[in-house]
Amino acid sequence: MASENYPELVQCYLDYHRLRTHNEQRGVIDLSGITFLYPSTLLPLRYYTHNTQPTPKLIQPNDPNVANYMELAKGSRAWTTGCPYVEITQKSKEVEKDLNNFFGKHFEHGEKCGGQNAFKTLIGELVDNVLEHSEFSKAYVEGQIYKKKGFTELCILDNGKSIPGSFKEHGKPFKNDVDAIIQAISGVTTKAGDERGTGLGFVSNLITKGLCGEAFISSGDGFVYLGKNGKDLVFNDPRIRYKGTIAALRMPYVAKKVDINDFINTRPNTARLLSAGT
Amino acid sequence: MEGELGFMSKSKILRISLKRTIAPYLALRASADRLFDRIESSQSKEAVIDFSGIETITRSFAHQYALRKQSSQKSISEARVPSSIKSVMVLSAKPVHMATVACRAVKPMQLLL
Repeated sequence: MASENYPELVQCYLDYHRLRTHNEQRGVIDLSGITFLYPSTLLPLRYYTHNTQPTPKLIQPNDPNVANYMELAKGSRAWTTGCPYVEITQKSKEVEKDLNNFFGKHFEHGEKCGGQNAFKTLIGELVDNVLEHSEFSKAYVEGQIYKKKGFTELCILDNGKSIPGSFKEHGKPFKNDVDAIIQAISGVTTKAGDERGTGLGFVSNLITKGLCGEAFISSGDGFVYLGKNGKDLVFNDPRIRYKGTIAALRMPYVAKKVDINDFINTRPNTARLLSAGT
Repeated sequence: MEGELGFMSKSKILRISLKRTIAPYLALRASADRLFDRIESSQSKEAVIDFSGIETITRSFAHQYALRKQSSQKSISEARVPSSIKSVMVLSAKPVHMATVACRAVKPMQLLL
């Protein structure tokens, strides 16, 4: 499969790595040719530009509408942006309120994104995973409904210890980083209690089967893309290494209402992932 | 402590409104833990958790709630639980054993960057 044939969600994330690599090699992030920035590019790119020293030089997108998404070029370190985001903090007391406000303000409480229950549960499970496993200092959820394009996209980023890092710390065996991600989706957990660890599997079933959407998880050198109709991708490549964990998902807008009870406790089909690279 | 959570009635039953103490959206295991930590530290032997106004509950919150309730020495009951919330709580409390994949031979694809 040629690079340009990857699904757009994957391409967007690879765009981030191309821009990052370009900066590491030439000291500049060139956005001049960018015509659209989605959360799966924008969130990791903004995190990178805000946390890299020296601050990367930025060539603004030619399109002023796109340029508005990258305020850093104007010398601001504030995350003023056209794309809504919410910061996740370790103070769990505030997280649910912040997320609920975020969903209400920018996602119509998820009513047209599979229904309130499915949408909020989906993001809540991912955020709970970050809080339970990551030991991050920075974490964000960023996303937007693209009504004209007919989809909703969200990206969740943390700068914590990563899925393979957590496995390593807890002595869980894994062959490589992508194997650790697949095991996490399968239900292998670093937490005590064999009833834990169902979060990512539940999320993967809900997004692909329930909402007819797609998602990826990038952690360490590992990358797993859960596609529509079982078209998955698995990579293990240091060129797309991310120190923490990034997950992104894209679902149709409008997505029909989904009953989450149909997906709770269902076993994710990781056999397709295990055979995806063969 | 009781006043912070809801109110302590004359019968010394601790009543807690989840909407008020957490949010209409119950997402995190940590929130369930915080809730039960407060119940356990209370002098009341009985607690009633009021779910009125709760719009969404994740499996993680519901599962942690069930675990903590099961291990608590106190009498804990739920009141005014919306039907959509109740079904998630019932399903989430059921045992599930999913950790069956261990170190299989994953063959990653070649990434064309």
